[in-house]
Amino acid sequence: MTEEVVKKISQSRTHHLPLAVILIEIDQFEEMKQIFTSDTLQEILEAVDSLIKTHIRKQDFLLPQGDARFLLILPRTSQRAAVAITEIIRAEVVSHSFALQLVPLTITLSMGLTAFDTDPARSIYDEFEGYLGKVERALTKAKEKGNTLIALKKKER
Amino acid sequence: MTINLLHLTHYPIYDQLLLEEALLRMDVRNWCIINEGSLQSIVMGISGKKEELIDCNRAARDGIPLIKRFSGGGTVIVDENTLFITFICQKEIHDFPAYPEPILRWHEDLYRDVFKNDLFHLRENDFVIGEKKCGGNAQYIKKDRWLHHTSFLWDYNDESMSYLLMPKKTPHYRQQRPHNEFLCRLAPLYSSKQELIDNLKSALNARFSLETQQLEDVLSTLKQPERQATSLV
Repeated sequence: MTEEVVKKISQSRTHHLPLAVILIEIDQFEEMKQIFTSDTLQEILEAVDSLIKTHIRKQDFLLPQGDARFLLILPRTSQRAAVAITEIIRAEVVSHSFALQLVPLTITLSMGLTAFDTDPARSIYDEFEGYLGKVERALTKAKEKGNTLIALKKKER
Repeated sequence: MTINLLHLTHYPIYDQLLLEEALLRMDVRNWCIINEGSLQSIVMGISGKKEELIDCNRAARDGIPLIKRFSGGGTVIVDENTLFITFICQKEIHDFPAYPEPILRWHEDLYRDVFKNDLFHLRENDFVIGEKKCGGNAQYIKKDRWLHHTSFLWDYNDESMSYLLMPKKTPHYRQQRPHNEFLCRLAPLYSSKQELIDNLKSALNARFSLETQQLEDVLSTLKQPERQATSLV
């Protein structure tokens, strides 16, 4: 967890502000590894990273996680607002024309999302680990139901 | 129009090539031959020079048979994870001219229905998915008949690929890529070889009348005198 992330979560805790955490995964990336070169895969990752960044605010964080996953942390964001952002990102990526050699490629994303009112009673690290576990489970649920879905982990305290 | 289907499993590639050559030269029927894997072997095109294409010492040390096939094309190492599909046809059953490019295009069209993947296409002389090669082709065209065989990479062993040297002439799209950046395994993309074979049979049924034949019934073709260019090197 970066210092900036810790700072943002701390601010949310101090001011009892909501925080949304979204785990984003490029669908079928394992299959893509079979059919695209390493350079192309890197281009795809960078393009998706860039597309997501066009729809988030300065105070938000996008953290690449490896394995075609990105963790998006949205301070001061309710679950409702976070869902709206995920829909925008998903639509943007699906409609993007990836400039690959000869073949058009459509990329879809699956996402797990959770939003919290932060809990000052818990350690900041425990709290963040809790977020990660919840979005991981939500993402698994999304992928079990079929790719390109967004699954929500209900708001909890 | 009838296509005779011969579906083999783990039939040695050398024997398959002898059979294909015999069916090309001595038979007048149309054939689709499917062979799910072979003993490990290295197969070169008719004009290939083994010293330039193969790590001969290593292949000899490891007892890998070297085969020169009757058709042109490049060098492949094949094993139980190679899926071989060959068509042998009378020119007259198709409405395209029997030249290499139209024959390749006909196969591309057919295999689109097999792979059911928008990223599958013909690139130079290879079948590719996305940017990587999943199948290599070779042809033999004679007066009234042609043969086109494809080796699809269901899976491959990285180490086995090192028996093959980087050939002087490679497809332009390869761009000096090593095997692991150039070749595509089909196994992670499809549930089973059977899925592809079922798709192939469906695609053929949509185009032809399909008649299944047994190996025993076609082996007699091998006994007829013919010119035989396929050889062990």
